[in-house]
Amino acid sequence: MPIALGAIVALISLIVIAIPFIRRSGAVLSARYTGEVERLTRLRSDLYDQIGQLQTDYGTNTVTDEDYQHQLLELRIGAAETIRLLDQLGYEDEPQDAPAALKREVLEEEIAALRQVDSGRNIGTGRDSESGGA
Amino acid sequence: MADLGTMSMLLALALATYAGVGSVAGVKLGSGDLVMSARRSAYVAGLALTVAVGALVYAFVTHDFSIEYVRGHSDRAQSQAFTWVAMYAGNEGSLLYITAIFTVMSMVAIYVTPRRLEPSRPYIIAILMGISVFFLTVLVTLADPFAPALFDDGRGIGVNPLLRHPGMFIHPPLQMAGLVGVAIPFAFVGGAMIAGQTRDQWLDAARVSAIAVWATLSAGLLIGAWWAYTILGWGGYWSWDPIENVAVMPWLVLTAFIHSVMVQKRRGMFRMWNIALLSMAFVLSQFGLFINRGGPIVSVHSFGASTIGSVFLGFMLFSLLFALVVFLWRYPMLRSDRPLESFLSREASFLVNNFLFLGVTFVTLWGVLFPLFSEFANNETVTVSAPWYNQINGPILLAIVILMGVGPLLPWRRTTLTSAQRWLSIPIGISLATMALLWISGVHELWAIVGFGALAMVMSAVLEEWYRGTMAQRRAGHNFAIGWWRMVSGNRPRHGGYIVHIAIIALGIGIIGTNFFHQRADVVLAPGESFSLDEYRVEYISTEKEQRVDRISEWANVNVYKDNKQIASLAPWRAFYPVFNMASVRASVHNVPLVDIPGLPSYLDPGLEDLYLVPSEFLEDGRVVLRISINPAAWWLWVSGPIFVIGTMIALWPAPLLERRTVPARTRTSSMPRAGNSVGV
Repeated sequence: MPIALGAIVALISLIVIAIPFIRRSGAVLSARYTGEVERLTRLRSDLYDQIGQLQTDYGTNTVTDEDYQHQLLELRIGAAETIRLLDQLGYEDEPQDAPAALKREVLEEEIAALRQVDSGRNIGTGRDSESGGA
Repeated sequence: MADLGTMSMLLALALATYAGVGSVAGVKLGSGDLVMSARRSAYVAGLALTVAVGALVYAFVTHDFSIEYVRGHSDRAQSQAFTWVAMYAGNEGSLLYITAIFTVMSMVAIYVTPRRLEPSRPYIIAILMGISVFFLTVLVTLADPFAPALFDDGRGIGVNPLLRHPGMFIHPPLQMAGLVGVAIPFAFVGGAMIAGQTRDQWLDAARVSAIAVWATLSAGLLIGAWWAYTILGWGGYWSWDPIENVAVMPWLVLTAFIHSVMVQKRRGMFRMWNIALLSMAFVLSQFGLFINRGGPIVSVHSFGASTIGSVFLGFMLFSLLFALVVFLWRYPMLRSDRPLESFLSREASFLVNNFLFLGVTFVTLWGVLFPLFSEFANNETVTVSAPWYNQINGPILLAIVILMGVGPLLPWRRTTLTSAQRWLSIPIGISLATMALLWISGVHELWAIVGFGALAMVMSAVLEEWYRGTMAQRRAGHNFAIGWWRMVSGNRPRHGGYIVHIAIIALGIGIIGTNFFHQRADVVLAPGESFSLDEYRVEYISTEKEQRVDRISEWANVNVYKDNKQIASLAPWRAFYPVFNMASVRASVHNVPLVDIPGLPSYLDPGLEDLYLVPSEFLEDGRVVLRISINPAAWWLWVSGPIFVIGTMIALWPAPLLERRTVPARTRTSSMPRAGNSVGV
């Protein structure tokens, strides 16, 4: 009797772990598992840090006005592109990730404002326009 | 049942191994099916272990003495109720319990892992199942609870007499669950670090699980203290025994973490520090298991005869190395979002609080390890005892209490000295007034006065916060009670924390009362004789005796008088267990109320002091050796437990979704194309 019970537990276990293979959903893991999200979030963080550093340098007069505007625009475009790629992967900042999320919101608003001011110049890529993103 | 138990353990080992390896392999191979299958395997590993525990409990209840562990830890004479819990009375069974409860807790943790930690979940599973695999391997190779008995004479040896106490139903399960559970918040952080989620994605999961584990450990420690108070017969409840110490060290570090994680949540600071704290708590919990399972330090709690200590030492060192490698690997990505702006801020007070908690931890660790160092250096084992710990840890703990009164009133970021003075003037004033009142009323124990003053400051700080918050709600049109509740439910972690602070105040009152003002006398009384201690007269009436299969019990019938009025009839008890050649006592405790609330049993009345009686010995000529103690404020120690529970539940109670969303949802993401066919796991 105990052995039969043990065999039943083993059988149930086997069925439970085999179900994903039996269903053969063929699901491949999204990039969030394979490191792409990790790479992009790290890149985004680095870009935020660089923007912060640039602003500090500008505040202490170590970069000129012209260099500051130029570099800032480049970094923002890079950050916006990174955010767009993260969005495509279905990645969302969660509520508790507030510092990063807030930075992103602010950054996107600034970029949107810049695009309105300089409507003749495409600061994004073609895919940006398609998705309606930043 | 032995076959079922063994099969279930082996099955659990296979399932846990598959879950750990399959999770990581699934990620590396990009197979969602494999990841999902591995996760399900972790769930059924918990199920298999539950069956193994069920099989062992069944073997105990049915007195299956063909199993060596059952024969060694039960007999037919012991109460049927204890056969249900005797499974964790020894090394092998408690290890099975630890493995099962840890795997079930892991199962829950894996299931409720938040979506934001999705990329980390396979690694979280791998860490948790790695630990389960370690426990299971030890179980099936070195400590098999289902091993057959060398002979079966139809009788068991019985459970250790000290374990035959109601505390056995609650203290060991909570204490062991809390100790192994420390691995769960660590697994959230470790998994997130491996997956590269190095910002704050792990924060909520680690915080909530750490609080849950901390509360479990708190309850285990407190119930253990109550158990010691009633059964060990020395009238105390905490002796800084090595096993108590190894359980309290992770608790102290978790307490530090629970505070500093709020700084990370609010200000994006202390990220590195918090990860270090969780790693430290995890390694200390492994250290606790090592000491408990046959480590080199002798304790009344440890399984001294166990030979598996070295295996646990190896695993502890591996855990330390793992935590260190993961931390150093991600170190460059763990920077805080901003620096500490001022030392006159709440985050600075949390930092100081953390240092103080770590101070107590390291003093305690030094005390635990000192016998080993002394043996190594002088070839002589020197142990340190309670007075040493009290002398060093006492002032640090007092500083922590003082900080509990100051910290919550300081704002985040920075404040001016003038503002701080304004906020702190009331608590400091109340604290000074309390100390003055105590001095005038004849209390001249300096440290006790300072301690009560610090507790008064904490209480007034909490009340000041609540008063201001409630008045703000009242201005919005709510009555006092509704206003208070709205304030509490508006920030549950904070106000739940304040309720826990009130529990600490109750605990503090009990600790100060019992340590500074207790009175004790050891007396020999013949029937009809009395002894007076302070305001109480204890009259010994008679002794009664009962012989059972497993023990010879004796108890003294005693009447207690105060102001010549009988206030209680007590029967302190002592039993001798011939098989174990061991005596066990059960103290009789009478709570003398500070306020006698009509209709309430005396043990529920707010207590002034305990009258505590233990029979040290029953003499042949009918006399009894009685230890009589007056333990002031002991009631407050135990009442802190329910307050802890209420505070923790409020702190952990999930906020409604709308409250939790601090960042507005970005509507445009819903229209964004999704990458690939992602498994929704």
